[in-house]
Amino acid sequence: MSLLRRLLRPLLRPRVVFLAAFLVALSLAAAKAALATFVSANCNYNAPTPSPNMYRDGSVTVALVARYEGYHWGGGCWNDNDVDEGPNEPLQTSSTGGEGGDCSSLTFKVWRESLNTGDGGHYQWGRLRNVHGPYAAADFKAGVGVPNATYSKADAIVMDAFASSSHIGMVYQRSTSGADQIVEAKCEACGTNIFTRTYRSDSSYGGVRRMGWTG
Amino acid sequence: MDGLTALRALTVAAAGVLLAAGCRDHATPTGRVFVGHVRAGPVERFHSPRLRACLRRFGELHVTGRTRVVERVGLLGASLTISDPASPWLYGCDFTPQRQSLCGAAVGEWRAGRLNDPRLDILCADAARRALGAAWVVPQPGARSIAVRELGLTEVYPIAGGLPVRIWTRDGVRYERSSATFDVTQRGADGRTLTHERLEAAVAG
Repeated sequence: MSLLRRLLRPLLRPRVVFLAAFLVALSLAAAKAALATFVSANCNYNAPTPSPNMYRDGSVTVALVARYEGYHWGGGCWNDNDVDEGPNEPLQTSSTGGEGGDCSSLTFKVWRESLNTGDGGHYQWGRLRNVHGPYAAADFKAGVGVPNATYSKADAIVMDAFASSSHIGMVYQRSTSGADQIVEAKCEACGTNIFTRTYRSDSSYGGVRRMGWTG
Repeated sequence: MDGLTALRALTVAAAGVLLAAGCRDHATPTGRVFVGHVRAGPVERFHSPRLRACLRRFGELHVTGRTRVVERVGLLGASLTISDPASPWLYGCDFTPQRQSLCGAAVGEWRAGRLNDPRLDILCADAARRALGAAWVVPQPGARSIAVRELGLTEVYPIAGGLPVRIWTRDGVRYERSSATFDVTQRGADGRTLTHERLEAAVAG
């Protein structure tokens, strides 16, 4: 017994104990960081801020924050460092908690909509507020929800949208060539960006307008 | 209470919690069991206001002689699932059981027996204005019914028409998170459990 105590004595010195505890804590922190997703590590569920006004130019700015921040199926949380911090995720899987929105959550946040489908007011959602909203692209296409209405594609202007049953993108810049500049969360590989699209002339797409713009 | 007694009490309490957790995960129906009504066939056999409402919603859906419809009426909700072999899209329309007007809809990619996503819809609500969630489940080979367990209620969806089954939950909806959890058990012809899963679905795309 005394031999064992003598052998263990160097290991029980305070400095050695502290070093061992520190290494254990470090490895646990590393393991936790490895398991954390972008959403669990960065995002929140804070209440949105009601805002009396909503301008199309201001919403363009909101949309541009999401640019280069990636795409996440069913997602709705991103920062503003122009890096997709959840790249190459499994396709059409929401549970992996990566960075970025999908097409309908980008539209929901940029259009400052309420979770209450009967509320047409304006609600500013922080970029790190993880929210998708109750609508999928097909719902937007049908003008579901008080803030949303189907609209003539020919008359669609900046921050109106084109929606199909599986996708929605907002007009960033209208073009006379027949193709518009569209800001959209397109797919895992292509992320969120501005793309040249012919949705305006594509019969599978309809026009959608967020009602209640201040200007 | 000495330390040993306290330890014993804690052990008994922990065992009780574990047993309770285990009980929640097995696949036996609890409470009331409700078996929904289902009808499946070619589209021309359906002349319901629900079908008309659904076709109005999906203007791009071109009905042909090969278009198949599965109509379900259950306790929490009613639905139409529509598929045409010429199209990769699966269309769903959701209704509250008492009404013929559409309250929600979904579109999924349906190719070679695979569905891209459960296509959760959370836009319907019950009479007390509680949100309802509807999603598709693809039946396992050999499955004859799908049971979805709620608190005090199990709703059984007979499998029909060779299409994904549109199932409903009220207790599993997390509206603020745009998601829902379904407690799903697939059963074979002899009532044997084939699979039991907690299906996590989110509004997406």
